[in-house]
Amino acid sequence: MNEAENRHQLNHLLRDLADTLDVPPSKYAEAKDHYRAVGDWLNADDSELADFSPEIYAQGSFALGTAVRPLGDDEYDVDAVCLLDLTDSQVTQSELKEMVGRRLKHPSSRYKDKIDPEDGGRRCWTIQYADDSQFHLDVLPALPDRPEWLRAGSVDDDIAAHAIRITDTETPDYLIGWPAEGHGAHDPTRSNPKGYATWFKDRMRVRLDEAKASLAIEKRASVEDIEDYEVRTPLQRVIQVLKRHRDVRYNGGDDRPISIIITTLAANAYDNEANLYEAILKIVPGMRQHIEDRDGVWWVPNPVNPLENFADKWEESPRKAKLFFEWLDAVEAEYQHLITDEGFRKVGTYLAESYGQRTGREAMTKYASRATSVAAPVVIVPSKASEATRPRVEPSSKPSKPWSC
Amino acid sequence: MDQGVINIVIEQMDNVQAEHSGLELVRDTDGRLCVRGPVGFAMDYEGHAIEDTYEIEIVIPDDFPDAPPTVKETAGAIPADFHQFKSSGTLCLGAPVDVRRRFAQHRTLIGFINGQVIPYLYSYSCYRDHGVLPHGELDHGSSGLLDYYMEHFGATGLTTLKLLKCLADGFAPPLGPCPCGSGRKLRDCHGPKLDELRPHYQPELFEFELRQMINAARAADIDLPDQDVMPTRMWRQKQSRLRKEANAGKRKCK
Repeated sequence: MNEAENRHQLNHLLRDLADTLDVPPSKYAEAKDHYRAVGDWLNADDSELADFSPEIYAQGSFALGTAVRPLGDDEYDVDAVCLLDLTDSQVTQSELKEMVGRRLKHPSSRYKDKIDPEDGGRRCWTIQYADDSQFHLDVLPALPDRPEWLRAGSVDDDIAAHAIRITDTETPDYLIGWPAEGHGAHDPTRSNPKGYATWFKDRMRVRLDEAKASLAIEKRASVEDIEDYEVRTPLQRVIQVLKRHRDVRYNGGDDRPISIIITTLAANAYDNEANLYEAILKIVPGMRQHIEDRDGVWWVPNPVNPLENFADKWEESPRKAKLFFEWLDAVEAEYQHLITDEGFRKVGTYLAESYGQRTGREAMTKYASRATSVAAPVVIVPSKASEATRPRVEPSSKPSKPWSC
Repeated sequence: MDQGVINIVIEQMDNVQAEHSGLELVRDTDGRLCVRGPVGFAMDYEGHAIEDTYEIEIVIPDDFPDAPPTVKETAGAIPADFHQFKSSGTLCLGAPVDVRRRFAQHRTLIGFINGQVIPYLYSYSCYRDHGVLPHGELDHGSSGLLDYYMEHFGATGLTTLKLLKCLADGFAPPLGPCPCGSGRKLRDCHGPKLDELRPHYQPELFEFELRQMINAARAADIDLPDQDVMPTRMWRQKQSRLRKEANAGKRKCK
């Protein structure tokens, strides 16, 4: 039994796994180029939007550094907010959405044939790039928001300052205006992706600063020149690992927990652990503690909007909640087992089963290529049977003759 | 270790395990990649039907699959005096250049196991049970190597040494006369046999083996036409030594 050594190796291995899952920096750069180009098009002098100084920025996993490479034929799904300098009393939801849509579909627009579906989605316009780029960009038309409850100070002011309103075709007021304020219920047109990103980064501040400082030393640059997306904290890596574990376990099923639930709960449970293995064993059981039971309704509150329940779908299908708890148990049990000698010996099989054959293989390849020696052998491809088979081997016409020096 | 190499090995494990399901790929405590576990076979060669199982460990070299792996028997079933490298316990599957030449024909683990390791293990089983090595064996050391090359070239010992000199020098004019004395051009005589070996070994290694054979012949008081068999470097060395000795002799005379 050598748990200390196994723990040390698992830390390395989880890092290799997360690296394998991570979106390559080139894809980040590509995504940035794509949404900046959209921003330039919306801002161009002849654009009817230019007067409202459109600002475009990433939201979701690309903004948080928790995106994972798509499984199989899936595409990179990049979300970008397109913020116009307007107020909700100047335009209705549909007017805001159509303004952006018109510009994107303008006869001289390079995007005019790339909008799919043509009349837009529930909240966004989706730009479908060429097949080989494996990208689509969701552009969410938005305007700044400053609702009463935010002004009342229930959320930090510097976070509240980033609140926005987005459009939603499924709200009753879509054509005539915006949902009215003050029913105490969540309003799906209210959002705050920048505020969420700020909150998320604060949850891992110690490790984020540390990682940037260490990269700055490596690159002989100053810390100010290092962008957040250039580094990964243990929290981001654990989230990437959990997301892929979910993808494989739920296999695309409708009951899969949405990424924002995993991200929020993991960030809440994270205590700036430096070691990835310790982080995962702290985070996974801790996620449960942050799911609230409000009179029989499960709540995963949005940390920057107390009215929004990320787990609102669990109320109508309690099965989702049950599967989620089972999933957390399974991940925890797997990692508890992996630290034992018996578990660690089979780590290669485990990775292939839980994260997909290709991912497991790639992670083990990275791990096996390390020069550092280990205290016990690590199985990379486990045997398929404990007993040897005795296949018939046809002798070649002239086998080698044994020799010795 | 290079990730490309590891990838190749992981991919090749599919074919290995399709036949030998007891083998596993591990990274050992020195960071080396090894395929290890029980390997069984049923083989029948010239009337000797054998079924057997051995525990083996195959070590993947850093330049796999350009170079072949090495293999050990790990359960002590094969005594140390049966064709193994003394220092490492690695099995001597055959003459080194032959091991490389055979491996280069497929560059796969399954080919190595079925085509080289199992015939060796089968040989030992046969020897243990029946007292014979069905495919024969080579003598220890340079004498065994000479036998291997003689068989390969289909030539006498002296001709074999002359041909090895071509390999050790790294060059032999293809249109020049074949060293075997047939009167034909090298290209039309033993040239192709040289070409079979040349890609699998550096000239230095051929030279190393050839020097051993020449020294063994000398030790046995066999007279060799030095200039025809010695690697050029060895010949020049000898000439310069002779000159020095001659000069030293002259000085003494004065």
